[in-house]
Parts: sequence; C-alpha cells; structure tokens
Amino acid sequence: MEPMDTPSNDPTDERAARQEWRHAHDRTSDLQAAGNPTDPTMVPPVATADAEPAGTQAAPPAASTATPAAAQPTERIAKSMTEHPAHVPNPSDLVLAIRGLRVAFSGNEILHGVDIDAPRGAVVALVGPSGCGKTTLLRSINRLTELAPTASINGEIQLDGQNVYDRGTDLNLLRRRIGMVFQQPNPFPMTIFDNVAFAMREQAKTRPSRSSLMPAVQDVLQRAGLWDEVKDNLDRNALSLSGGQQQRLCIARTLAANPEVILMDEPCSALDPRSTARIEELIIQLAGSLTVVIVTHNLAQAKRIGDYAAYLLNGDVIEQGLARKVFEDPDQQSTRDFVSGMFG
Amino acid sequence: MIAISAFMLIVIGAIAIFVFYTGWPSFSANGLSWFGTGDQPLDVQLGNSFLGDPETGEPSTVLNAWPAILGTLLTTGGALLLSFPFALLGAIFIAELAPKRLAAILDPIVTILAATPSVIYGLFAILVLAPRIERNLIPQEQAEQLSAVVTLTGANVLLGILVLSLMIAPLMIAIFADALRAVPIKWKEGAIALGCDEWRMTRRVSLRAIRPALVAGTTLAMGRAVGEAIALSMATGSIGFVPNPLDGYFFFLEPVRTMASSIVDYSEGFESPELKANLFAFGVILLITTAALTIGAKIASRSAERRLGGGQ
Repeated sequence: MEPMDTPSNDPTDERAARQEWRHAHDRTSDLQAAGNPTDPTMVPPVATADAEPAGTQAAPPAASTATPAAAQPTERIAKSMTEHPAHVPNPSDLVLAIRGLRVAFSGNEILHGVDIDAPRGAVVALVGPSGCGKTTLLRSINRLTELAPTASINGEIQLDGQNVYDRGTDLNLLRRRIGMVFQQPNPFPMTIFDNVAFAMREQAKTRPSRSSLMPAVQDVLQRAGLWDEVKDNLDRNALSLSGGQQQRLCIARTLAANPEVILMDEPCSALDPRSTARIEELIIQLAGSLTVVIVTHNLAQAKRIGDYAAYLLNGDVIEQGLARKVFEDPDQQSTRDFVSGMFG
Repeated sequence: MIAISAFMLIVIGAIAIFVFYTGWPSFSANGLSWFGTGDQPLDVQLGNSFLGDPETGEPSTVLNAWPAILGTLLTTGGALLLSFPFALLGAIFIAELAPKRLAAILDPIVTILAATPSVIYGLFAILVLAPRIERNLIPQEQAEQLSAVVTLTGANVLLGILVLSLMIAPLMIAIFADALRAVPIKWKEGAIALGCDEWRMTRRVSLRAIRPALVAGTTLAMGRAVGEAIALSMATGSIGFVPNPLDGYFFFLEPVRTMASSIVDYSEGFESPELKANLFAFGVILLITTAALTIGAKIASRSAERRLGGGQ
C-alpha cells in the first residue's frame, strides 16, 4: 500500500499535481487500456471524447449550455481557487458517463433512461424531490442496486470509457475505484484504526503490519479532517465517535481504498449544521483529486458545493449542467419551480 | 410479574438447596480426594456405596470422581471443538450464502434438530453409529490386547463426542444464524461498497459483529453438553474408565462415563443414602458448572458487546 501523498494542499499547480497524483495511483491502467491506448488522465481532455458513444442523443449538457469551466470558471470555483486548492473540472473530460440507465424493481421502473455526465474532478450534485430516483441512480453507479434480487438494470455507465455493467467487470475492483459514503454513518464495530485500514488490508496480499499501515491511515484521516481529533485514540471504538466524526471516518475509510470517484448519498442528512459544514468543506477539498457525485436534499448545500448539478424528477433527468446555471438560470420551468422552493 | 419472578426464584433456590444438602455428605466424607483418581475404579466405588464394602459389609462413602469429571470434560470439550467450526460454517451458509428458498427449508430443520429429544440421538448413536465404529475403527488384536483392562466396543469417547456434536451443533447454528441475520445491513453494504465480496464481508465484518452471540451460543451449547445424561449414557459405553493417553488414538475408542450419565445409570439405587449422596454430589458439580457457564457467558458477551460498541 503506497502512502497517499496527495498534493492537494498545493494550490500553485493543482492540475499538473493532480495528474501526477492520479498517475502515481493508477492501479487500473489495464482496464483503461482496453478502450484507450493512452492514459486518459494524461492527455488533453478533448482526447477522451471516446468516452461517449457516437450517436447518443444527450450531448454533454455543460458543453452545450456554457463555455468550458476551464476557460471561464464559475464564481464558486474562482472563489475556491483562493480559498481551497483549485480544481477546474473540464466538462468534456468525463470520468463517469451514464447513458440510458433504466432501473426497475419487480417491474416497477424507477429510472426511465437517465443520462448523466460527471466531469473528472468535479462535484456533481444530484437533486430532486423524494422518490425521484436519486439514490437508486447513485447506487447503480457502484452496482449496489443489484444486491436487491428484484432489481433489473439496463443502460450503460461508463467509468473512464468502460461500461461498468460489462460482463467480466471485477466488481470488487469497481467498488474500490468508486467509493461510497452512505446516508447513515456506518463505521464498522471495530477500532478507528481498523476502520480506516479496512480497505488497505482488503487489498493487501499478505496481512500488513500496523506500523506499515500507519502513514497511510494518518494521511487519509488528515485528508478527512479527523486526524487531530482522533490521533491519540486510534484504538477507540469507532462507534463511540459523534455522528459527524463517524461520517468523516467513513469518508476516510473510503479514501483509503484510493477511489477515483466517491458517491455520497445525502451524507449530511443525519448531521447537525456544524458537522455538515465540515463535511461540505471536506468535499470541496477532495474535489479535484477525485470526483464526487453527491445526492442531496439540501438545495443550499448543492449550490454551495456543486460544480455541476442534475435535477431529477420521477425518474427522469429534467435538467443538468453547471450548478450555477441549473440553480440560478434553469431552462426548464419545472427546475425553476423546484429550485425556487415551490415543491420538493 | 413480580410474584411470578419471586416464585421462580424460590423454586430454583429450593432445588439448589435440596441438591447441595443431599450431596453434601459425599463431599464431607471424601474431602478434596473427591476430585481425585482413587485406588478403585469408579464403578466399583459406586457399587460399594450401594451394596456395601465387600470387606466390611458397610455401605461405603468413598468416592473419587475424577473418571466421571474427565468423562464430562472429554465429551464436552471434544464436542465443542468438533461442532463449533461446522456450526459457524453452517450458520454462515444458512444466513448469508444459501438461496432464500433453501434457507427457508434448512431453517426449520435446524430448529427441529435442536429440539429433538436427546434419547433419539442416543438411539441413533447406539444403533447406527456404534456398530460402524466397532467394525471399522477397532482392530481385533488391539481390542484383545486391551481386553484385560477394558472391553472396547463401538460405544466410547469418540461416539460420545459425535453424538454430543450432533446435538449441540443445531443449537449453535440456530443462535449464530439469527445473530448473522441481525447484523445491520449498513455494515454489510459498507463492506461491499469498499470492494469486499460477500464471503470476506462476512468474515471481516459480520463475524466481528456477532462475537457476543458466538460466546453466548457456545456457552449455551456447552451447558447442554455438560448436563447431557441419556444420550451419553448410551453412547459412551458407560464404564467409569479413565482413557489412557498412552494408547494413542485408542484413547478415543475407550469408554467413559460422565457425571450426568452416572446419575442416570445409578438412579435405581437411591434407597441407599450413601449412593444418593454420591450421585447428588455429581449434581452439585453440574449445577455449579452450568451456573458458572451462564454467568460467565453473560459477562463475556456483555464485555464483547461493549468492545463492539453501542456507545461507551
């Protein structure tokens, strides 16, 4: 297990550093090589256009509705360049491309052909009223949906150009590349250290010693903003932490698997405002070095942290694009009603 | 409710006092040598306490109960060692791996097996297993060599362990499987979302979470094994013999008699106060052991729970 020396604290040359980080942590070049002769993380974004199947009716919405974020950063991103390590998600460099996703449980269709784009390094917020299928969509990305025996799933979800529903996909590898943070903090009933080291031990061939895991454990706990609070109590039971701490521990545990994408299913809904603010801050810091897809009920939160946003209603994507555009100047009346709080 | 609880306590207390009171003469007559090996075989000692010492004609109070204690330890310990891994794997299979329909069939079977009267297991052991053990595992010459010391038959330590394992494994499977099913789905999903397959998820998260149930279920099984009388009376050969470790694997093919089956085997002789005291002394030991097991299991599973969480 290599230490995760992310240079996310270095604001000067974030993009180059990010590529370096990704390169150093690229365990999956074999998968990517299948569809892509060159490492997609190292080439200019345009070259990854093959991530999209030809003839799909859904053009990358951000590209069609706004100039690329790289050229004209949104206000929040511009702000984050000074306050946070800058990340400039490029709308045509898609780490995730969902195409025509249909999900049904016992014949009852929840998602009716959903297309979503997640540019690399962005925070993509999925919003919509309860029951619109946000969570099902999210859980389909790391293939948790199929744990329900009645689920039937059609369509494509491309991770770096590779359909995750392809036959022969290594599910365990996929779920390490696409981490997940749940609505309810769910640390395992073991020590803080063991929680964080869980994925590392899982990936190691021989059981690694505690001291060899320590640097990486410290690193991810620092990235999750929890280190200072727990560094003296790493052998404490994780369930004795507060809810907010537990959720940050879960983020650290997910980071330890070294994912490219983190899915978050309303990660703050069970937390108080102060813990919520900490997690939002953390998400903004993490974005750039990885991609965050977050489901949230909280529109204000989606506005605060989202680079991109998608509005779902009754299993359809009504509108998606740059978060600022979706929230402040939406094209659809339905979106306008939702973001102005008329329903939802 | 309070009245019922009080009544129960009084009944339990009365039973305990009666057993202690009746068994006491055996302990007071023998002192610490009660737990020793003694000069005479256990069966001779018990016979003498009923029929009287052949020399004096007086009923003897001498009891050196080590053979019976060892018999209980061997059968119980062996059965736990043998059945625990099977029970754990069986529970994992039923609770986690088996298709729903198969689990729905297996579940009641396990319950029925756990509730089957022990005499049925005893019959199965003596009628089905014992002849096979005798035929396949006991060579004639070895049996003849040992015939001066003890007669080797199909009923022996091994059969005792087997029949006890058959009895307690379903009990453990039922308890372990229930605990596995009660592991919160959020932990399971959390492990799967970190790239564990189902087997590793079970091993690394669920088994960790059900430790209190593992302790509780094993202790309950141990309590049942220690107190089992009828099935072991049939399966162990019921000879108060001390198996000799020097006999190699024949150690397990030699007969024993446990404390509980001693009580059953000699229960016809209760009119002799000496034998009655001796048998009730076994009862005292069993009572103390099972009570200690119950309390120990409570403490152990509570401390395991504390370590696992549920707050400070």
